Amino acid sequence: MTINYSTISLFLLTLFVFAGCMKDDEWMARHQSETLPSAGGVFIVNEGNFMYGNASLSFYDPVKRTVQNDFFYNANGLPLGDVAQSMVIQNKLGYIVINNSGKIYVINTSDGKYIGKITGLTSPRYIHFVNPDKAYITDLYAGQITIVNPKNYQITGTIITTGHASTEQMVQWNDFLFVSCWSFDNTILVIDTRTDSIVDEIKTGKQPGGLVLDKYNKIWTLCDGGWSKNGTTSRIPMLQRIDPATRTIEKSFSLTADAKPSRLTINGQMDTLVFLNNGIWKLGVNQSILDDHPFLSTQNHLYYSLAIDPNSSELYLSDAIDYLQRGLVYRYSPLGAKIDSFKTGIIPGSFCFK
Amino acid sequence: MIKRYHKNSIFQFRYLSPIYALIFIVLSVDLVSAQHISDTVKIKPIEVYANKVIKEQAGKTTTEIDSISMIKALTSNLSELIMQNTPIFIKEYGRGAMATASFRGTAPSHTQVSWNGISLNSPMLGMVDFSAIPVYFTDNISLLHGSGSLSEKSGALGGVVKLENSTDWQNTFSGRLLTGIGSYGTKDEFFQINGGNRKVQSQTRAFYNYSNNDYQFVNKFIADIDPKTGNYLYPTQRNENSQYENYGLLQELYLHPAEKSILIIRYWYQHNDRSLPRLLSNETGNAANINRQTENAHRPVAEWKYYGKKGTLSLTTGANIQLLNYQLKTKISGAADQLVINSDSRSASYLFKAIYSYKFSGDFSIVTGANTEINSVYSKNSPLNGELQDYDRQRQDHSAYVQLSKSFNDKLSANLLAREDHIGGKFTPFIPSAGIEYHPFRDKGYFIKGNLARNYHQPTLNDLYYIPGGNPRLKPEEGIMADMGTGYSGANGNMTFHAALNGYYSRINNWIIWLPTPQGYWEPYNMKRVNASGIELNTGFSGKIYTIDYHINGNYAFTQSINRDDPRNWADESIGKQLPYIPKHSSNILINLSRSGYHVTWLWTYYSERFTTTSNDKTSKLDVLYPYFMNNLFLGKEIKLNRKKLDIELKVFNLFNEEYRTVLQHPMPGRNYSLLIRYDF
Repeated sequence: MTINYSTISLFLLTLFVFAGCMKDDEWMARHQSETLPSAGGVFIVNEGNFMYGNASLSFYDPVKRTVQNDFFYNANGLPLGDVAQSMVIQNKLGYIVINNSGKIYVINTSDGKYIGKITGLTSPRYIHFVNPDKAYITDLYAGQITIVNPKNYQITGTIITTGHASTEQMVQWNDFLFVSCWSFDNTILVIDTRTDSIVDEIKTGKQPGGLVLDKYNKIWTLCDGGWSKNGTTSRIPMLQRIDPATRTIEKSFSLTADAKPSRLTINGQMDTLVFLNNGIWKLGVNQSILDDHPFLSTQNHLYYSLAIDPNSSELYLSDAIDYLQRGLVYRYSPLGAKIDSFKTGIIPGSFCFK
Repeated sequence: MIKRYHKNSIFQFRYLSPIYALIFIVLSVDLVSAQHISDTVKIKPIEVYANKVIKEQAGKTTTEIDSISMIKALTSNLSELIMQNTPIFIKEYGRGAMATASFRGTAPSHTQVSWNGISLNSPMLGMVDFSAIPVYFTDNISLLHGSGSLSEKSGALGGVVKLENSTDWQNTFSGRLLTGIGSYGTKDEFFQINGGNRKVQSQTRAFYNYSNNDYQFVNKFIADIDPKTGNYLYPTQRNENSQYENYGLLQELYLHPAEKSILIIRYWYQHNDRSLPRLLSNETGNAANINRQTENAHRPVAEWKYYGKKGTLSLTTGANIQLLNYQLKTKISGAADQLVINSDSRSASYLFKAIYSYKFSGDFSIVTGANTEINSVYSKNSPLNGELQDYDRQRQDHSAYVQLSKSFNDKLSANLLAREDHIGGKFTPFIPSAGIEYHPFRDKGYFIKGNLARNYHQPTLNDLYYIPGGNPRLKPEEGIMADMGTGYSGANGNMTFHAALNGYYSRINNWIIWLPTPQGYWEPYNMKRVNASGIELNTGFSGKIYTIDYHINGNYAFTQSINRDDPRNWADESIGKQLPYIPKHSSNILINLSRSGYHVTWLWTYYSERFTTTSNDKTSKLDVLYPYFMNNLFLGKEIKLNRKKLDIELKVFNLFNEEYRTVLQHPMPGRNYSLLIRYDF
């Protein structure tokens, strides 16, 4: 076997042909979404995988039964970020909280175009509007609540939450804001929105996450109970009712030690609580004991999130499947009849009704 | 705390399998007889793998990394060497950052890395960070593909990367000095001093490696809007908080106390300090979410080899102790630093191993071995304002094996292996392996071979006990593996040539995967099955044309790693699809040309697109990572000064200055340089 120069040159030449170049720019082209979203509908915030930066936004039109995925990316040519947590619409603008990107994107809800952003946050979770000029942002790690002006996206102040690294959901009653401290905590902070100061705190079960206000102006919180160390510590997940006036816990419904409840929400009439615990559970706000059976069973699904349309009281349930592919959302009537199902982005985690 | 690791006595023989006991009996008989063997028997301290059939290796696929590749990667870490010279896919998270391996389409924990007989895989995580192993510290690197690894150890469903050190008994005094500077404030320093005689040899090596790693890039993942034009303004950023500093020491002592025995003592200490850059979409404050990982590893090993007339005994004991601290910190103005994650772990494996090989005749041999590994992990996370989450667990893993190897004639040889593992108090099912190799022609360079085996990989201690999420009910991963290969190696004139083509098929049942849960933490579970199959092609030739010495080596791998789990429900689109991040096609080429001391090396690496979703979605560019092509070019001159050598080399990485990312949102550097001066004496 002999090899001469030309063979080698030919070989090298062939290699250089497919030495190739990587097209990092290609996908950055800005797209215009083909159809603009309808006046009514629901935005689905897809968390994406932690450290993958593949969070996305979907929009579902319940009348036409159509879904537009990658809504933010298609409108802006930018990825949404890493772990999109929640979204709130205020004055036709959508505020999307991107947890592990430390920012909030502000979009025009009519076309999805990004018009501004609040940056420099640590690990933001939720935004709550006190008034059009002031909003609070909770944070998983910062140990503070950030005060922003949502009009010019500037940070205007902070409320240091000494002893509480994690602040989670917020619900307002009169001038007072109730904030759950979730991660490793068992506290609900009471903040006077006029002075931006913490005025009180309420001790709850372990890891209070969800907070909702019912039609009787009572606050409900769902404590997931944390996790047990291989059965060495007991955990009692519970649902608790708080009187915001006296700032005391009036009622506690304990769940079983193996329960993993999440996603507390309330229907449009504000008289029935709904939460996930394998299946979908309901609790009327006047009920004195928990139901024996879920309202909807799992039916081969491991539900990840749920939301109730405040206008129609229709139920939206998400299944992240294996968390590494596009998730599935079911739409149910208030009585539990399946209306529709559609695929979204990766890990459909929260819903925002337009 | 440390006291607790010793609560279980290391020597709990009551659990040992009968095979284990048998080995010790056989072994002691031969040891006694060996004492009567004449002193004139010559020992073979260095195993030589010539180009002939080795019946013990029959049917097994092994690849040795050649010396040119080794010397070219001297200042690299193992991840770069593997990426550029083998069919193993390396997933790297950035320059100097963590890198994990996928061998034959398997998970990082399925690639076992052994260093002079001890396992470098952490019993806590199961995997090895290939970026933390300096090439400086090894002399020989070989790969045992798939079931070919069973004679080394069980559990390597992908294969074993075997790192070894050796000495030259003829040496009196020699060494190597290396210094390098590179882009982004990178410094490389290394020295090696070898000294001794025919009875004692000492080898001392140390390295220091630092980089600011602050390369600049345009971030197209975020943009500000120009208030006048409405156009996007992409920021130019630096790869901040990514500096790394690594240093280490390796001391080896080779003793030749009697003619028939060798004692080797080694100690490897290493310190790695680095951080994972934040993602491109990150817009937290400058002082938020800064992570830092500090690792200290201690690896003492002692090995004693005794060469009897027909038998060889080797006893090894060693430890792999890894102390790891990971912090995720946020600085807040007007308040104390928030320590979001403050995790400390101490994982330790203590190994005792005996291998005895005996030649009944020139064409029939037995190799038998047993080992005990005491694995212990203490892992805790104590975040500020958080609650301590920790676990402290030990597990004893025992394994014993027997391998019979026979050459039937000069063309056909075969071997049978039986292994039994006893893990954490339970026997795993019997692990068999059978290999056959046939050299059909008079030219023994041609071969065909095949191997069939079963293998088990145990869950790691994190898989079982991590808080939160650890699942003590996990089953071990079971692999049924078939291998076939053919190839040729030979020489023609002044050219040597080799080519090997392998096909493999593995069914891996109970594949362990960690997935998020609605509770916000991750949990491992057993998938029903993954089928990994593929083709590996390796070819190389070297020789001389006119006055130019050439050396060319290339690899191509086709890898199919298919999810055969049960669908979760009707909407699950992951079944029958390629596992995320495993490229279907991967290839690399090394070309080295030299003439009168001048040398040029071109390294080319290619990976085809990689999916990030289990459903292999391609609807959005966020779901797919584009194909990877990388070109590195090294130019140098070697000057011979008597028996000493001075080598100056300029290395150009990312020759075509490509803008690219390795995983989804970690930017990689553009064209960058390194200048190295090496002095061998």
